[in-house]
Amino acid sequence: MHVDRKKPPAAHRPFSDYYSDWITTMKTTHLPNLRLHMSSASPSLLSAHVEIIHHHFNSYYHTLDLAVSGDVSQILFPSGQRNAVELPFLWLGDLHPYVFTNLLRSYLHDPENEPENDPDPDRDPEYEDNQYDHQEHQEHEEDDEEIEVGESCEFLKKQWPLMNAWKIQSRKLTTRIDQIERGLRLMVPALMNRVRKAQAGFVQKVGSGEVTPAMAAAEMEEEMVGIVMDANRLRKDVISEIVSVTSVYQAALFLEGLAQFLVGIRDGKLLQEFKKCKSLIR
Amino acid sequence: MTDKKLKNGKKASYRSKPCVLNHDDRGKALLDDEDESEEMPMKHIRCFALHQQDSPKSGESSSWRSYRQWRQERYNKSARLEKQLKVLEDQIDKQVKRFKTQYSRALNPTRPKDVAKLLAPSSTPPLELATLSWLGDWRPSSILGLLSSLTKSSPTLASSLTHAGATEKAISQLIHDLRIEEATVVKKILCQSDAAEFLVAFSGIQETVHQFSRDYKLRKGPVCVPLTSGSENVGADSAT
Repeated sequence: MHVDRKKPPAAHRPFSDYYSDWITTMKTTHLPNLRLHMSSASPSLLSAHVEIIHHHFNSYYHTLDLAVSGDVSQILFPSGQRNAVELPFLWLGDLHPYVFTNLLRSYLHDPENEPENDPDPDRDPEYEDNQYDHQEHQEHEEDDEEIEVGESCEFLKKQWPLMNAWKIQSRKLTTRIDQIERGLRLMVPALMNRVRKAQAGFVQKVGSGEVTPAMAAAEMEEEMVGIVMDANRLRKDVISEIVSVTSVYQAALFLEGLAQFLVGIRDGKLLQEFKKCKSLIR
Repeated sequence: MTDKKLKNGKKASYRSKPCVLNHDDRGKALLDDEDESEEMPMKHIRCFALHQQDSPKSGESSSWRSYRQWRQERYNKSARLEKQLKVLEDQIDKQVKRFKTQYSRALNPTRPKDVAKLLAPSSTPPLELATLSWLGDWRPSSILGLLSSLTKSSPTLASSLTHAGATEKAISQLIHDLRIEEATVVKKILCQSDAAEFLVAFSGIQETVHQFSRDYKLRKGPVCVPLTSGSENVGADSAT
């Protein structure tokens, strides 16, 4: 049977084109801008750029939801717009939310970023939170003179808050990350369970001859659209939570790392090396 | 006299039974016990009638010829049936072996670049993967789910299961426990004909879903989003 390949409707474009453009914008505009302002001494400007890049992620998830409504199966198995390096990182059509928390943990557990003096466990958490609160931390950046860097060391002066971003860890931040991870440990299996049930329902309907495969697939798609949208909401919420609970410098470093990860795994050179990689999987 | 003959005949027929069973049938007739019970009286009566003929030698010879012919036919049928069962068993084994090979370690990805192919094989349409797959192939519990639904819906499969309740219980337990060895399980819990029927249905559904998903992908084309979506990204740059 010959079936004509459907052309995109007017005022629409393939999602793969959208994603490609989205990555290009990230790579050529948002990421360089963010980096530029990370090394500037103005936290308010940096905060604006953190907001822009955060918005860029949110707009992507909004568009991903629209694409999911169009054909959820192509989003779940996006061989067209994702390469061989990207595919293993995907969960329900996009990055696994653990990627976000693991990335954040990687900064917190980096030996170079370990706090020099461990906070006293008996210290009042509220007091500590007040000490290292997000806003207050920004205000402390104004007191850079207190740090012995010398007048001539302008570069170090600018970089200092960024270099020390993870050394100033509040209990509020680590507690919140723990909470986010606990939430993920509940949400991720629940979503997977819904997928399993949707698939079981499809097989049961087709196997028993209750409905035609087309009807069973349509019913299953409806369920899968809901599941993938919920997964997108989860991803979006995790990113937003991280951005809101971290300081502006921490948020900037986190979003820079995430953006770099997305841009980096699409790099042509990396992909070539990956394809040539001879090491065996054990 | 006639009554006596009949009585004798009856006795003769009963007496002849061990003779029939002791004949060189190599136990094949045991396969068709029910058929035998239905067909035997007629043959015994014939046997009796021939015994009563005046010329016992020629009658006996004719009777034994007919009887041997009948035995031969039965033997041939049994042999054919046995051969067919053997072929069926071989086919089931072959099919199960194919599954084993497919899921064996030798076919697992050995290089990093093969992982993506395993997770989303390009030969499988996205809808087929979405509806059935788990890590690139049939979800194990779906296979048993299919078996369970076929057991409930197919009259032949359901009626042929001697211990349908026990099988259903075993399937539920396996769905709960199982991870990867579903192909072997099919052979373990089903009798030969059920296993064959299941494998035929499994392959049929696989093919139907594959065809349907392929047509769906062609019909649907690439997934699209409105042109305006994401355009705010460009606008956001002006903030710099």
